[in-house]
Amino acid sequence: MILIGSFMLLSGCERQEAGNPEENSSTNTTSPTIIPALDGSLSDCFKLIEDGRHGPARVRIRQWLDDHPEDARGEFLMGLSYHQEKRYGRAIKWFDKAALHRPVYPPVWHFQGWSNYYLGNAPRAREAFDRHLQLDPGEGDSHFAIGLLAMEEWRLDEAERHFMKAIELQANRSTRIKGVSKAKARLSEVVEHRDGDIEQATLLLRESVELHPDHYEAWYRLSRLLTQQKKNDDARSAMEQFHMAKERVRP
Amino acid sequence: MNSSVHHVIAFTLVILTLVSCRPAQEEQPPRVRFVDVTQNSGIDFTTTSGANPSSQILEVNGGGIALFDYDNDGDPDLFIANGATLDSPDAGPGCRLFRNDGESGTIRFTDVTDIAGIDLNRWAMGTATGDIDGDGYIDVHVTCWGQNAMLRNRGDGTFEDITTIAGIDDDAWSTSSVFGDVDADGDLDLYVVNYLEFDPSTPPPPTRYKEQDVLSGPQGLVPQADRLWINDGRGRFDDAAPLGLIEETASAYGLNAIILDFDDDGRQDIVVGNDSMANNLFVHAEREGETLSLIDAGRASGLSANMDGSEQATMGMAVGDLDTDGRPDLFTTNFSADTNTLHRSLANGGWQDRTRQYGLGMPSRPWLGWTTAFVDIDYDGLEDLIILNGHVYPNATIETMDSRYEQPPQILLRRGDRFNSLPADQADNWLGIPRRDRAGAMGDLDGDGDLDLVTAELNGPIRVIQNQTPSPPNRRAVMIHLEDDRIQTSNRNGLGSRLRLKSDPPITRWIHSGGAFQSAHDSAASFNLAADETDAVLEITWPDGDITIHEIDPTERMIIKHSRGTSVNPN
Repeated sequence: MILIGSFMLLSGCERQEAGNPEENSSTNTTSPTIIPALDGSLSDCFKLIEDGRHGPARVRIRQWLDDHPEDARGEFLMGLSYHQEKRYGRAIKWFDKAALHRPVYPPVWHFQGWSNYYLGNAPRAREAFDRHLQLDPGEGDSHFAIGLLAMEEWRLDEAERHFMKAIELQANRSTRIKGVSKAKARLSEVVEHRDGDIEQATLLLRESVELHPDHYEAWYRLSRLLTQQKKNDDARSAMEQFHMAKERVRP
Repeated sequence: MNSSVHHVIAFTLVILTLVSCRPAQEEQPPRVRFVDVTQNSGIDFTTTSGANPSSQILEVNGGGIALFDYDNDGDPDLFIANGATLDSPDAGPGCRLFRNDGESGTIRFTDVTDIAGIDLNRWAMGTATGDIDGDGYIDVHVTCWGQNAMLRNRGDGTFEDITTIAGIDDDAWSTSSVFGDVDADGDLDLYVVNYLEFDPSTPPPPTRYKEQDVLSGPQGLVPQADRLWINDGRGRFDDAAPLGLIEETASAYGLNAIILDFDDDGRQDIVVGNDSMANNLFVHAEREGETLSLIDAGRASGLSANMDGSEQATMGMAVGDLDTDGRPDLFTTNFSADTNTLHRSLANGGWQDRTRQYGLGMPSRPWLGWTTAFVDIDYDGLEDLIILNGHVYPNATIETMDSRYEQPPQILLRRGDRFNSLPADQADNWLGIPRRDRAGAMGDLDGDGDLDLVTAELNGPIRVIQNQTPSPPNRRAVMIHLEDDRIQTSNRNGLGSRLRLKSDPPITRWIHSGGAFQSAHDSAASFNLAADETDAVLEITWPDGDITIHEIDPTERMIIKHSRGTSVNPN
């Protein structure tokens, strides 16, 4: 049986240290993604993960894996439970196992990509996101991730292509508004640095925060750009929005 | 504002010329060689900073080190701010002073702590060096958990503790301190960076990080306010805050600072690196008259946070001119699972996070960085980066915290606008080994014109790392020292000066205090020149705005003097 479910394509939820772009709750995306059928027990495990009950989820998953060794879905969920705790070094071991045992299981590659991204392993992250897009070409968040990786290499044209694709793929999906928001915010960086088009960059950031007012990083960047343009009142207002949004997201 | 600026064509005095013998190289970047020569350096010293492994935040910073020429013999000596233990925090094994007795390309230190009369056994954290009384001898400030210390250099090889006389009675937990002339009166003022309230007798319980029990702090503990001390010119200091000379800002978990003219207005500003809180940038307010008035422009300028508005855990700081615009850009090292950050200074006084553009973001995620420095290691005219790493949590592993407790240092070589990690196997015996490194200071220990390194590992050895990178046959290194002998200044080493090599593109260095985590680099500037470049011209903007122009001679070490308001021909 194939289950079409609502699956959290999370780039992260909360963090204890500052300054990790994309790994924050303001840009979480909820993505309806086709995933293979989950048996009743694994479905319960997934719900526990969604509820943030990672420890109990892992107990259940371990029981499942005892009965179903090398089951990629169980391994994936185990990795996901650590991923949601931002324990990427541990998560990736499970994603690697799942990818080995079932390489055609799309979400594994997506989350393996993000784990590698946060561990600072750009080549492996890129490889994983590419693999994910081969299996699921319509996944905008993987395009977004590749765009970010291109930004790290300062390949701005490539970054633009992927951010545009991320926007296109998610634009008409109500559950992907946050994804569109963050892609627009990063696209504004390309426009600013490659083209020097501050007005267009500002416009993109305005669109980003309009779509997702909790996107505090975008508010901050918007404030900086407005300051640069000597639009001090607007800059001050954006900075206030930044503080309010951050307080909402990370009280 | 600046004093009147005048240009003087000056000659330079070559105080010491050491002819180095280097093998001929092919037309390619030289193999980088940073070699651990501790064993034969005369230094066999292990630092103390609580227990190993650490269980409380007081134990994790380790002690700082300073390279400075205390005996005016032309080479940098070594001071070590050493810590203590939680059960006896006021009676540690003590700070140390090592005299550099190396000759002609060798590095050899001698422990002269007792001879120098240095008897400082408190839990020392950091150190800054500067001539506070204008007597021509560099003095030492030591930050401590508890009462800080000012050690005056008597000039006869000994030091005296003048903390009380100097009026510096800060007994907070101070991490770094930094000298500079913030009130532009010609003497060195002192900024002391304070961290948080901590009582070893009632240590806080562990907290959680990435689902692991870890030592507490800084979040949840009470931050302490920094102090700016204004020098009266005779080595006595007044607290600037009660005098209303500096804006009162919220107390922060301070770790580091640099004093330098960051906004190009001719007056020295203060950048403060805070742990998990907004960094400060104290600049001079536009006010009538000459009254000192420093306000925090960190947030307004964009320097307080990274590009996403995240306030990072700033440990190390380094100043360089990456875009050759003559303004100082700022690189900071941060916590693991975060990125190091490069802020580029803009013409309008603002700052912009350009970390990604220079390739400094993602590769830094696994590392927790401390001391860092810009150095042109490979003689290509572009400054490279050295970073010391090591986690604060002893239970850090890739599996538990996505980062290891012991971490190797990094050398990042710049090619164009990108920095690339030098593979460990390409840099001899120092680079690839994971450690608990914290403090580091750079200076030309062996007199060959390039920068060597001394590092301090947390509860580990002091290491002497000799830069043996061979200069290509068409390049040469030269170390520039400043001596300001003018009557109106006691800032003898020209802290805060800008040195601009008139090349294409121009190359700019600054001589300043601070930046190295709790430590002090030797106050000198390193340039690499074409070997046949006999007419290289250096423009120096002295701390008071005076500008002098000099020709650089073909030597490894030059001292440029400034006397009586003009540059002089010492010959």
